[in-house]
Amino acid sequence: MNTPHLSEQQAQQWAENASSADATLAAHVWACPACQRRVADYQALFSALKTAPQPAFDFNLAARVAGQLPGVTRAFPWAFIALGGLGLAFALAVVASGWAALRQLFQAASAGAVALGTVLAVSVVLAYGLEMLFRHRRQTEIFLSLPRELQHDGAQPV
Amino acid sequence: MSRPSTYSPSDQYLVEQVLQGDTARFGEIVNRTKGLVTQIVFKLIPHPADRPDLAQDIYLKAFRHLAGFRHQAKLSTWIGQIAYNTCLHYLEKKRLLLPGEPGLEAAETGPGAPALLAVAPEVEARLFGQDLTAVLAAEIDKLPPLYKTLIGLYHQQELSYAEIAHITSLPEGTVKSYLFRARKALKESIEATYQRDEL
Repeated sequence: MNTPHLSEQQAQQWAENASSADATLAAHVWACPACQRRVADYQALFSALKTAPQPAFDFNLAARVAGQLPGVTRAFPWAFIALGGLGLAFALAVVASGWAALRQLFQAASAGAVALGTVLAVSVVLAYGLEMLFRHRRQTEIFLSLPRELQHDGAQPV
Repeated sequence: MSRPSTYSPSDQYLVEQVLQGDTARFGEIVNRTKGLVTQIVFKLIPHPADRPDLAQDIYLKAFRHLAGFRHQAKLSTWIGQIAYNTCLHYLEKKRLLLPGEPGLEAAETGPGAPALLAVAPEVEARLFGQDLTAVLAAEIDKLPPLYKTLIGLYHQQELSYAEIAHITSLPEGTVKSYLFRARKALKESIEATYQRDEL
C-alpha cells in the first residue's frame, strides 16, 4: 500500500514530537528519504529557534520602571481602624466610670479656674497650629527652589 | 509537548508585598517577566525608538492594575496579555499591520516561495547546516509581526498554546494554525534566500 508523503503540518508535528505519529506514517517516514529530510529540516529549524539569541533592551528595565512608579493604592487599614475603635471604647468606659467624680470636680472649681484652663488649652492648640503652618511654608519654599528633576525625585510617593 | 501551567506561589507573595506598599518588590516582577515582555515588544513594534517607552508603559499599567490580578493565570501570562494589548493599541494608533490583515496571507503564499521538495540536497545541507542561526534573526524579522510574536512566544519563551491563546486572546486552534503557517513561512523564506544567494 502506498502512503502519501507527510503533509507540511504532519512534518512539523513529527519534528516536534515523533512519538505522537501513528504507525502507518512512521513506517512511511522510515522508508522515505524525502519525508525524513523535511522532518530533519524542521527539527533543525526548531532547534535553532530555541537557541537563537533573544531580544533585550540595552538598559535596566526594572530600574527605569521603578523610577516612574506612582504611589501604590494601599488596602483600607481595617486593623488600624479596629485598634482605634478599641482605644476609643476604652477611653469612653474610663470616662463613664469616673463621670460622677469628674462632675463633682468641675462643680467645685470656680468659674475663673475653668476659664483659665480653657484659655491655656486654646493657646497650646493655636501655638501648635501656627508652628505647623510656618514649617509647611518653609518646606514649600525650599522645595520650589530645587531643580525640577530633584523636585520630582523628592516628591516620588513610592 | 507538555509545559507547566501551574501558578507559582512566589509570584503571589511578590504581588501581595507590592500591594502592601513594598514597591521595590515590583522590580523583581519586572525582572521575572521582562524576557516575555521584551519578546512581545520587539516582535510587534517595528520602530526601535518606540520600544523602551512602550515597555515602560506596559509595566506601569501592570502596576496600576495589580490589585485586579486574581491569580487565575500565571503572573507572567497576565503581564504578557497587557504587553500584547498595549502593542496592539500602539499599532492601531500608528495604523500599522494588525493580525488578520492581508500581509499575513502574502507572507505565506507570496511569489517566489519554492516548493518544499524542489530544493536541491546540497542547498538543504547548507540551509540547515551550522550557519542557520546566523540568518535566522534576519529571516524572522521579515515575517509579519503576529507570526514573529507567536514564534518567539512558543519557541523561545516556551509558552504553551493555552498561554499564548490567553496572551493574544486568540482561540487555541487559531494559535496553532498561525504558528504552523509562521513556521512554514519562515522555512520557505530561508530556503528562498539561500536559493537567491546560490544564483
